[in-house]
Amino acid sequence: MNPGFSRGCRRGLRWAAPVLLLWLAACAGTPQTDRLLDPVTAPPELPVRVELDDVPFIAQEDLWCGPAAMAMAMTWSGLPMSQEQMAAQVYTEGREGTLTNDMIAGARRNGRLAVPVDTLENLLTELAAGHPVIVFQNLALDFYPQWHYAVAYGYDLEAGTILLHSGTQERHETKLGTFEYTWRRGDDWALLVLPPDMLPATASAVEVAAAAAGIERAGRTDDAATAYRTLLTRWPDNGTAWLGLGNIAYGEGDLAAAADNYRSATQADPAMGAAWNNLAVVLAEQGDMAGAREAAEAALATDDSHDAAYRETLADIAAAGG
Amino acid sequence: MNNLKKHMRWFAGPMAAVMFVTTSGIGAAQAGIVTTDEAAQQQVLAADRAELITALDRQDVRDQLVALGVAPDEAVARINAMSNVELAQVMDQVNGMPAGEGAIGFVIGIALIVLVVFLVTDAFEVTDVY
Repeated sequence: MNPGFSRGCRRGLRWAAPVLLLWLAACAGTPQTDRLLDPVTAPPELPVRVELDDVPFIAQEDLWCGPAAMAMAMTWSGLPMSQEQMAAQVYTEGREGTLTNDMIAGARRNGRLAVPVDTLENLLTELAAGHPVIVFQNLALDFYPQWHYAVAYGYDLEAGTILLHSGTQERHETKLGTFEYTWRRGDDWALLVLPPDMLPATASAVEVAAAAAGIERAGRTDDAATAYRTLLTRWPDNGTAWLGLGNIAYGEGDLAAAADNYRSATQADPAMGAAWNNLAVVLAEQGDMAGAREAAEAALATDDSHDAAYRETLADIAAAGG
Repeated sequence: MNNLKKHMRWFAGPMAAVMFVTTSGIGAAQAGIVTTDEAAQQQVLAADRAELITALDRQDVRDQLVALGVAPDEAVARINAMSNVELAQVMDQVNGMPAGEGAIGFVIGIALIVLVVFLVTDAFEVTDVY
């Protein structure tokens, strides 16, 4: 069971732990690797060999595999960071490790899209698109784990291997099957860290929108706006992205832009109550009470889980004479 | 009763904003506005616990992170960058972590057995310890 944090970071020999039941976790097979290495079932558009040469290597300091991995990803994404700087943002002293959600939060706080990757095929596809991927592994066994973060930067389907910047090894080449075991024991956690003007090769609109919303949540509104606009170039009818742009405009006091973006959101996704609700709020502030009431009622009509908020908006409008 | 719960959940956002104001400001809900985060989360699978995350929970996690050596401002910044679902996961992780890594003081014999074991599993490419 993935505890969600990394501790130990390949510190070498770890003493003790029961040695019985050794093979229990070992013999489950590697279905993802098997499918990818079999020429009959391998995805045809996946290149046979990829090795990214623009992913910087940062040799980790003791216990800092998480910060080092983040520093490599951040630097590659255009924001040079040291592992010391990242450690301040993601490492937890008392656990001698780094929580996976702190890695995500760390990316967001620096205005980066943090998009989880959870299949081996998607991982290799991202590499083929030129994107390095942070991976979380249990290098040892389930009952005696050795948690570790590394950065994947290449693979070779013919040789059946994957390339990692790992620990103090710039080029750690490991069999894809072995990697699948170690990755599975980490619950297949991997993270793509992209600058906000880039899109993943494999993620859905929902996943990218959630990542962009995460940047907005972390307060990096300019980067979030860039991410939403970039998302809209591939998915022009994504309501969440329009909502995000509207919320950012509203936060900056630009009511006209906010109203425009909220309207676009309602057109893209008429079932998104939040877009109608927020449009209602802005229209009311602009003095268009009739329009505000109409939008507020439209929000309630969508009947989603924020009904209480929409009722309140409607009540506020009614109280203000709408 | 359900409505009341939902109502309170909606207020968790603004309440958190009030409780965690820092110099850098918090990117939380403004009056009446539904945040993009919350709207996006409707489409992403949400754990049940996420609905019950309150401002006090966020304060709890902050205190736990501080107890683990994270500076208070830093702890707030980390928490504020997380959705409720992610925060619920962190609460579990911070609470229920394994007690410790391998204890010290095991006899050399066992240590050597472990060494050999991992050499063998590495050779079978099931682990990647060395």
